[in-house]
Amino acid sequence: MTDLDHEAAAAVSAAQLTVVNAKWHICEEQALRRLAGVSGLACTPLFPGHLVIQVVACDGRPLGRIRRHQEGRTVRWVAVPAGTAQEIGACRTAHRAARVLARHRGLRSLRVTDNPAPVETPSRDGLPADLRGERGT
Amino acid sequence: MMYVYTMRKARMAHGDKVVLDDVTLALRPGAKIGVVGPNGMGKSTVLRVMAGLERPTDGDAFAAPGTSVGILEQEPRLDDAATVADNVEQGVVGVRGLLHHYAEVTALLGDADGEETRRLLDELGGLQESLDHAGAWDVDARLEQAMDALRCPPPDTPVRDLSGGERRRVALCRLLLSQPDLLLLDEPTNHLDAESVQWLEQHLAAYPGTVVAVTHDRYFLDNVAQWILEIDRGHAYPYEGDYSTYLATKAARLRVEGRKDARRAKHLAEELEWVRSGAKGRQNKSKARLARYEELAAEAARTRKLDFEEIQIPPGPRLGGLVLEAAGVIKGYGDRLLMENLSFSLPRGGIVGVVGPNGVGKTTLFRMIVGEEQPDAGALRLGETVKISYVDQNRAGLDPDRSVWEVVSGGLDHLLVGDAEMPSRAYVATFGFKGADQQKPVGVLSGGERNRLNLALTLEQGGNLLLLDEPTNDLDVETLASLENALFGFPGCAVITAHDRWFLDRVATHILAWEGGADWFWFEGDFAGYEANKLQRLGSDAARPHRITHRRLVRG
Repeated sequence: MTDLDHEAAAAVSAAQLTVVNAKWHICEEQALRRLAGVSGLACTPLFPGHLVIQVVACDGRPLGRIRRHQEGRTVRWVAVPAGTAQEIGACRTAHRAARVLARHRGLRSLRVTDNPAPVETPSRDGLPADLRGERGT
Repeated sequence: MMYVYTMRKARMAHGDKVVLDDVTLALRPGAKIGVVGPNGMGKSTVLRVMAGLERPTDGDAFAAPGTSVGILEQEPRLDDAATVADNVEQGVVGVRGLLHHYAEVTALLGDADGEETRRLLDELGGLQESLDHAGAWDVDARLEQAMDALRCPPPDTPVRDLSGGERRRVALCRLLLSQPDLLLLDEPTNHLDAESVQWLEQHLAAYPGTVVAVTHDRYFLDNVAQWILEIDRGHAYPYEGDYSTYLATKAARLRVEGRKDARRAKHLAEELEWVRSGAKGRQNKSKARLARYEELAAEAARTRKLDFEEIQIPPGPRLGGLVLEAAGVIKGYGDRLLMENLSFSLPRGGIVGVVGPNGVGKTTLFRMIVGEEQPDAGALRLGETVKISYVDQNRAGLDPDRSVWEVVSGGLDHLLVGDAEMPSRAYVATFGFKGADQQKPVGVLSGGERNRLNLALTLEQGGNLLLLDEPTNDLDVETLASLENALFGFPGCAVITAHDRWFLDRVATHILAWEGGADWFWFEGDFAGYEANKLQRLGSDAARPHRITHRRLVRG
């Protein structure tokens, strides 16, 4: 590869990451839109059909995300407040992690409403197509 | 509350100097703290303790688990074998690694199924949070912006060729880009020009982590700090609020405690009065100085009191009508044009603040004024009555093994300071060298101490035109205030290169500012007035610092 090829490859790679990042935030906005009309504490999958990452809001106001984290056979749900990269809890259930986020904001423990995403997704399994990269790119 | 950093009953001494005496403090996440205190009280050592580079001899000092800590030291360590770009890039190496990993995970997602998809999405989620938090998505733009704003040298310059000031700017740039949770800065504004300092202020005010900055820059303290931590004789006194609030709170505290520290109380009262006088009052004050040269000179001749507590500038010979005049001066070095058609006239009593980044020709201007250099074209005229006081910045010729007192006094008990005789030890003491400090060898002096020695040597000469090259660097706030007061009462002129805006606003009657290329602008008024004028003339883009580019010198 020439220097120019390397530069072009780096530019394409950077552009791909930018697109993935933009898609991610679009999915987050869509999730928040779904939660906008729900009163109380509620969560919804970031990617429709995949429960691994869920967006949490209270009365439509975003609180953060919860993530399903598995190590060996142990599954824990971690809570990450909005605007941070700090994991503040490791709970056995998604609802408990959502409540950790609520308490972090000074809100009392509430019942959690699951707001599953309507599966209207174009891709084969609910993941945005751009999020699935290609090996070797 | 979870604290980023905690010190509990910490004690520490360096030789016979107590740096920490039973100090307990805790830093909140996101707090912006300015550290002040007299020179030589161990402020830098406190930062090194916070960075984990030194340990207190007693008590506890620790950062919260998982907290990243970064420090800018007075003499930062860089990779000397690498270029500027390589060193700065080290500040974002962590972010680059995360981005690379992110790309790998998205690639793996392409083939994943079932549990593997869940695992990869979890990993991607964690990476996304870290990258969002680190502002990684525009890392290249941030890197460019920081290098521009701090006026870093060209990226391909080998670091080993850089000056001390340039090294500090590269180190600061690298540190800011690495975004530690606890950012420790030792005199971050030294070697930065006023525009870069303004950028740094904005950057730090919005900084997501905790910032602890040892600084004498009072506008910086006013604009960034939410807390002031005063280090004095081993004790740490926290004050909530900016620098102006600190002045008021401390003045009240001294009154309540009935402390007999009259000098300190006087400085506080004077600074408070100035803070409260507002922009208009300040401008009137500098205009009044120019109008009352005769009065100043007569007063200085009448009252020759010997005050051994404050810096004194002996009055030189009375100035005539012409002091310093530049007419169409052109000056270049090699193929670089430094000044083009520089014209100004310094009136009697005028104090000029010369502002601009390093390397734009400020020292060359000084050399032309003292006659060590000549303009390539145009003329620089000095009045016949002018007597210059100047000591070259590089302090050549000072024997590092001789003591401070010997260097200033030449071993004599009495000194002729201007045309007044005074005890040499008392004169040296007015620059903050008291007792055993006078016996310190010149070679071991700190930055602030070297600057005070330089001032003592310059002012001893008794001229009526002072040339001061960065006199404010590393000086503690009290010495700065003492110097400002001495300049107010000085019946002469001064040309001062400085980046300390508070100092310039207090003392300058004129500003000579570099405005890019070989363009200099002469302004009558203080620095705040100049900044407003510049914004009006050139727009907001001109007020943003950019890397320095020199015009090529075309001769003939």
